[in-house]
Amino acid sequence: MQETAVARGPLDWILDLVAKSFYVFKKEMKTYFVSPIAYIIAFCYLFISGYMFTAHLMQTKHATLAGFLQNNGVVLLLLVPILTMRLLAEERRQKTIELLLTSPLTPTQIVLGKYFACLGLLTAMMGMTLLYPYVLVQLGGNPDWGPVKTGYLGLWLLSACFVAIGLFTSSLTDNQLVAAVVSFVILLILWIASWSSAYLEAGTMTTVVEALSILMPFADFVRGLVESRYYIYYVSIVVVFLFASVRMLEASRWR
Amino acid sequence: MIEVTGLTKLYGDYVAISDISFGVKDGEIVGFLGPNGAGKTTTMKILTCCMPATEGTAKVDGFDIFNDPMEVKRRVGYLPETPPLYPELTVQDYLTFVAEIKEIPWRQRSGRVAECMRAARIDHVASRLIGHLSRGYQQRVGIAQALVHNPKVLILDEPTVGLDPNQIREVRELIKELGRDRTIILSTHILPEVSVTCERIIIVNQGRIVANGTEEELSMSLGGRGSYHVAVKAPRADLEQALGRLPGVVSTQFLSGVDGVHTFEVRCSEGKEVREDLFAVLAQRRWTLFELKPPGVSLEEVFARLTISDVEVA
Repeated sequence: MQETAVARGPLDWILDLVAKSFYVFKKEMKTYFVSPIAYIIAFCYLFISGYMFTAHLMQTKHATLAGFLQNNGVVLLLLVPILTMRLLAEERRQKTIELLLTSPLTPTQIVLGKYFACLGLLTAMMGMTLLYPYVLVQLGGNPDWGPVKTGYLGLWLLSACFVAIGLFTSSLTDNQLVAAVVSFVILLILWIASWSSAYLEAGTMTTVVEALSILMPFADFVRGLVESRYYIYYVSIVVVFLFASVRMLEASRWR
Repeated sequence: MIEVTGLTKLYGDYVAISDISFGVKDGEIVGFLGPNGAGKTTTMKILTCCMPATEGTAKVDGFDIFNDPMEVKRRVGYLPETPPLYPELTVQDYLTFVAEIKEIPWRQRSGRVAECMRAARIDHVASRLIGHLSRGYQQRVGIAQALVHNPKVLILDEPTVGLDPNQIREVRELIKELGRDRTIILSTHILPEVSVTCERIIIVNQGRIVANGTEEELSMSLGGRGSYHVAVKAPRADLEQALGRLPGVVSTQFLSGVDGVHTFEVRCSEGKEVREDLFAVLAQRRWTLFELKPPGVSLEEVFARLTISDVEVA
């Protein structure tokens, strides 16, 4: 009865990874849009973004998106944990994780599918704010396009980090609330780190604190200053937290 | 088809199962019977690669659960204790997702999903949200989910729990039907369920296998060997005397008498066949034989004898 397993090359491996992650991605997307959560978060995000854009424009009368983008990073910091909290915690609580673990899926495929579903939702939400630069142009403004482009790139990279961190905290527990609170705390610490560096004297400590601050490179992105180390910084945060999530998912089988 | 050797699982210091070994032949329906907490679910989770064992291993269709988990997962359909359902999805969407992750080629997906919904009789709720279905329907969606990739082996953890009596009967019939060309292991603590659906019974208690065999084998092995219950319409004293005189009979014991029909338990010496002589005597006296049977023990008694003593200790 024994059939020899088909020899699989790297191409098959990649195709398998993409296909199965995509199935998980699709399921997560359906789940987001059937439950009210995606609509509520999108509404809050767009409402607050719209207010910030308008208020900033009325005050400064400058054709710039710098203030809007900077504040948007903080709004996402507060909203992303609500989107990520259920990703793995809910699978555990509902025991649907048993379906995923007894199917020919690898933990990497599960994590990637969920990660890109949440990031995709955020990308769509951010995409809707592209209306604002259009509004600036319609009002006769001529914004400096360089910082707008890098600002959006920075915002996207920043939320990619937030989602990775949120997904990781969701892999730690079967309680959504715990997952949300823990990722809030982590994100807040990373945010606050940028303030405290101002009070500290220059030295090793400030270097460490600045390195921790996830929002500092983002501030440069908004100003139009992009350094390749920023990419490395953000990409490595994403990779580290996704890797940790995969390991947590594998480890959960052993308990 | 399934070969389990020396499976042991520890949760910290707690021994969930200890040195479990058994085999299941191709096409067999095996009932996994035991009180709550006996280790049924743990064994099933290990067999489906949901959870690794602390020691020991198992082979499913020739593939080792530890070395070839992917191949095992492709061959096993699993219905966990809580059906793994997404309440936000419709039945159709959910089963399509399952078909996707179970590697059904896309051309066959909708066909397979439709087939499973028919088999589990849920085709009329295909477009309803799973969260809106009743417990019984959810259980059926769970069963459909286990069938999607047409697995050779089905592992069902308490498939009839939460169903009403009619649904229980339907599910049992479905299991029997599925068992025609599949190997099935099902766990339960409902005794009639195993008698009705299973060809072989494995009784586990406190993490160990305490019995393994067909229902008849189990009841015979615990019932007295070489003794019979005889019910005859005859005067009690005459009958007792006649029975006692039969060659090979060691003792007779009166059990009951209703309307002139008296029942005795007849014990005979080892390896002695008394039934022919018994019949001859009764025929000669023109007494009517109402019943002659070995006093087998019912499955309920078997279960109680094998599991209760330990429960009292615990």
